[in-house]
Amino acid sequence: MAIHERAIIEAVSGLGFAGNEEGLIPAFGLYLTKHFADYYNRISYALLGDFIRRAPELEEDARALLIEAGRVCSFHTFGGIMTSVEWDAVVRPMIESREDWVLGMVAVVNALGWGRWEVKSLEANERLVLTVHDSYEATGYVRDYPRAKEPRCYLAAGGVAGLMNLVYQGDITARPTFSEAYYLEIFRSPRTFAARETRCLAMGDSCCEIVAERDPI
Amino acid sequence: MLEVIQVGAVTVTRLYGCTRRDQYELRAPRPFPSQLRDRLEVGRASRGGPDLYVIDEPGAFQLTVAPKSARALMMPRLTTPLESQRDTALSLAGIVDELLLEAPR
Repeated sequence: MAIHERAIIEAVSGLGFAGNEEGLIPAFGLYLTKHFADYYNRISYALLGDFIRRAPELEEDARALLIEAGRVCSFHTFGGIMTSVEWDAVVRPMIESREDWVLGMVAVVNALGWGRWEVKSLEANERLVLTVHDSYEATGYVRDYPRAKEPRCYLAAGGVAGLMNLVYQGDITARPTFSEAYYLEIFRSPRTFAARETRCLAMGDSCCEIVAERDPI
Repeated sequence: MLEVIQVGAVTVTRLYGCTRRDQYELRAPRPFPSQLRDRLEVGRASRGGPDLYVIDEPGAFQLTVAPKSARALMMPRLTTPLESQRDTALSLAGIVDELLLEAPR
């Protein structure tokens, strides 16, 4: 593979992402924010807890909503990154295949400090198995809650599904416009990718593992 | 996409951001000259390496530049009026165009 993760991390880190006087980080054509991972964790796990207490029959729906938030986030964030000036300068020159788009995006994720993502296997257009070391979702969960019976990395799971959809279900190489219509086209397709977390730190596993496959809704 | 403006050899595309700010993409048919960074840095902060750098003017804008890709993106600050954002983008495009004319092909 042509992707040099270390070079990508060094280049992205060299840009010194920090908030400006507006409190925003303009990067990758996006306005990012830096905030406590616990802020997101508390909100999402409180939402899930409320569903379980008030409407236990909707627990699965709550999980689906949190994963959907990850899919929408990845559509805009990963989509923005993969069509950005930064991507053109740093990652695009390394790309030799469509699979490199996935590997390049994972390298950028690792530069942003959302845990340590590692691609274990990638079957073109079919399946991605990825581990996350020090997932901020699971790490926060382990600290604040009892051991989970179910995996807890909802945003990461949605993100991985979104990445596969952008690369293989849509065509990120054609620089699409990230409209609601395009989202529905690729995420509501009968051949859309869905992700399931098969191992999770929150369940006592040594790391988190996410598998994305084509999985009709 | 809201508007496409040609400034000499530089194509400026105004992209919708939100009600208070747009984004401006600058593209040229050939790589941006290396002198561009020196010109843009005057009175402004910059960071990054030769292949990818950021010019920042607090209270005004951030410009991310990929010179080899002949592509840059200006992200204005919220406090600047929309018309001023456009003027700044066209002014930056003018600098790029001027240096492209001067640079040997």
